[in-house]
Amino acid sequence: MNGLQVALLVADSAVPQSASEPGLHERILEHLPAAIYMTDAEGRITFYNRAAAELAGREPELGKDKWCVSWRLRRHDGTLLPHDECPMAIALKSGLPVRGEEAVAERPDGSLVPFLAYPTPLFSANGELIGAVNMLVNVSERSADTVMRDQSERFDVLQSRLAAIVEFSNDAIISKDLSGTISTWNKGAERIFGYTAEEAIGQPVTILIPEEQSDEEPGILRRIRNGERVEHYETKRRRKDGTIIDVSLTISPVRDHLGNVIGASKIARDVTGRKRAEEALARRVNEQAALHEFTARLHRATSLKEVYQAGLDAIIKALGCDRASLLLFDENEVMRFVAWRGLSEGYRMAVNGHSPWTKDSSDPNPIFVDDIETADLSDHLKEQIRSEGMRALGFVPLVTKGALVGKFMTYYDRPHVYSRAEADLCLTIARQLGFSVERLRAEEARRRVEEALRESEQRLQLALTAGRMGAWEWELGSGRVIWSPGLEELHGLEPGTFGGTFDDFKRNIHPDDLPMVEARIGDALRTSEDYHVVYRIDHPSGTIRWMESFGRFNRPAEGRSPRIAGVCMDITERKQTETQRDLLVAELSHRVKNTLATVISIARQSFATNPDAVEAQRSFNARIRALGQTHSRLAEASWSGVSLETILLDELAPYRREDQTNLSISGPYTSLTPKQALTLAMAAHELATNAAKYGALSHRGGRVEVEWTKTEGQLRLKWCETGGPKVVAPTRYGFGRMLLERIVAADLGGDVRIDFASGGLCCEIDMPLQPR
Amino acid sequence: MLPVAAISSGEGGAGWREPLRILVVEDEFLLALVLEDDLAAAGYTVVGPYNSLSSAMAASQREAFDVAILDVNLDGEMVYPLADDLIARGMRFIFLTGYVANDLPERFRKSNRLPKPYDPAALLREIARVRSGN
Repeated sequence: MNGLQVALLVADSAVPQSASEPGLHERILEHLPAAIYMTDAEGRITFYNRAAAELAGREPELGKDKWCVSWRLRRHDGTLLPHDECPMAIALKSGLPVRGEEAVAERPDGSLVPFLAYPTPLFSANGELIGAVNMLVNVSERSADTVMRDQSERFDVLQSRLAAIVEFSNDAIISKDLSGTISTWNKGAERIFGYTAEEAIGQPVTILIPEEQSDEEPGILRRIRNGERVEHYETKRRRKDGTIIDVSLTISPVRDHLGNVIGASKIARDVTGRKRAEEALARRVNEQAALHEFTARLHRATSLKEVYQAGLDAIIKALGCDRASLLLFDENEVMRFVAWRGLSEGYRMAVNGHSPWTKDSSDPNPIFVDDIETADLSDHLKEQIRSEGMRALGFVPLVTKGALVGKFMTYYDRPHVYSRAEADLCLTIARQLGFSVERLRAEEARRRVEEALRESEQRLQLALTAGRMGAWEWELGSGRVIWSPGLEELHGLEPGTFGGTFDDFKRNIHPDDLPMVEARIGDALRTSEDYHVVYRIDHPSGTIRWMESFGRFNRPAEGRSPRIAGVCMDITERKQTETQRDLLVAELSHRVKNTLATVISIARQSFATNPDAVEAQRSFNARIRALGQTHSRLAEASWSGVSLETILLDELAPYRREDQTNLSISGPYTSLTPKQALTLAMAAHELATNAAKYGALSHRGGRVEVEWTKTEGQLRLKWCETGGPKVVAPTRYGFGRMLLERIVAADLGGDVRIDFASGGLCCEIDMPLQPR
Repeated sequence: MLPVAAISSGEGGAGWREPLRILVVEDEFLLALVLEDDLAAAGYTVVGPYNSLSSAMAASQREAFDVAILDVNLDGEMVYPLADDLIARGMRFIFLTGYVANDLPERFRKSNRLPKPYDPAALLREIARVRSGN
């Protein structure tokens, strides 16, 4: 069929050359055996050749007939086709060529000529539609035989192609009759199901159906009988070797030429791989989700407990095991449960401490027991696991920094084959878990240390505050001096206002002490030994305060400058106490020595003035005892003073009779200074011993009355004896009398008058109570 | 009065010239008593005793004396102003005290000092030494 090319040739060359060589092309066209005609843009026929007139069975009228050369046009089914709907009309109206449109021309004699039309619109150089050319191919000459043969050949080709497709398809393509007997079986079916065509054909299709799916077939058959198609039905089928595979079925009814359903064709695709991939994918997604959540939780975890729970969740979710537990070595290197899911207390008690590895196992590997019944475990352990209702378990070591710290366990209630992927997953979880346990342990340890440090710092601060102490530190490299707030307070500074340099430190030091302080610091720096110095500072309050400072030279760590750190305390009170103590010691020394000198003096006087040595000895002893007694009184009152009445009673009490009639002591309460007390005690002693020896106290009827008054700071004391032997004025001026008369005058600035009246001795003492 | 050991020495005492005059400042009567006895027995003339700083100061201006014997603590009052005054005037003195050197102000730690209770012979030797300017 080359008519089309001819037509195009005409379309390309005829129009532009028609002017120069009129008639040439038309003559060629006139004699071509193909029916050809042309129209103008309106469809009016402008040219036709002989073959066209023969096909139409008439002579068309040029410039008048439109669209087609034929008398009438009919469609393939015999209906009338109006001329303005003919292929040529369509080509002209659409501006597009039509290729081989079939139509039937009715000649005026009634004969019908089927033809194929190839109208092509023609355009001028500027794109304007100027007309069209049409070629009509008479197809009535093709005989019925030819058509039949053609169809048969085409069917054979199709058939063989189809057979090849069926034969080499990856899918199983099977047909069966309505009783379910297999009638065809391709190579794909053989590959998928394992049966050869010889084995399968004639067998019921149920040989492929597992028991679980046995109720499917009647339903499928029912749907097929009703002419329904079953598409992409996913189910399970059984191979010849018994393994179950996942398949996707498409089942179509097969009909005879009358349209009756006589069987079914079935396309089965093995989707086991896809199913497995899908399941594996779902599992991976699940694992990834579990791991992701695990990582996030570990990251957020602030306590070991949170880490344990996150670990157990991850193990159970990612591995799909029934139970899990987590064990860590305790301080005695015994593996102990720290967290668990689904384990009874009895089980935990029974297996606590069990570990396939010791603490120093290097590079421990996980141990997976797929089934305890066939595993190499102790009978005791097996029994424990069995009674807990478990069959499979995995031991996964937790290793941090190369050392085993514990393990986690996975448990399955049924035998479980641990896959490579699961083992890898276990190790992934173990790595993260081990790392987090280590991190949290380190953090908790750090927290404990920090807490202890904080507590100890608080205790230190308390101690510093209570002891009026401050802490300081001097960085020798930078020259920076750091003072604690307490130290600033000791120096009368507001917290944070210390300048922070060595000069700031020196500023308040008393000028007299500064050279000494600098020398001590120099010594400490030179020898790196401890620093200890006591110095004065000028306190902002205007007072002088004593400071004692201790420092220790810190040998610096690599890359750090040396420092001296220490404490400083205000020892002003201690210094004052020390001064007072020194004064007291000096005072005591002074008193003791004066007292000894006094004793020597009394001794000298006692012995020098009394010719009777025995008597002198007795007097001396009595005087020293009296002196000692007064000292005791003063000591009892811490040398602050003692009352006159006490002094008098001490001297007179030994002479008092039981009826107390021989003594009378009366006067207002009068406090005496130590010196007054000692002197008056000596005077009273001399008076009392004299009375006992010669006066009122030596005689049964005798009586001593002591009375005193205080007037304007002046003490007036009167000692009067009555009822004693007749008084004889002494011929000798003894020590006792001298003591009485002179000591009170000399030591107390008083005045003593002694009257040796014959009725009884009378002594009056006048003295100031305020010391000179 | 019974003689005491020191009295027999007789040093600085009686003889061809006027006896030395010793100013005695001591607030304790009994101690002054013994001191007076000892000095008199040795042939010295006792000026005093004075038992207060004010009376002693006045006497030191008024009376002629060769050596002063000063108790340090005069019933709570320190004798130092008098000692300073004597130093200023180039007069010689001996502290007779229960205090040890460290209890004294620094400027008096090297001054002549005799501890209480004193040995009378030592007192007389000290007076002789001080008088001779050694």
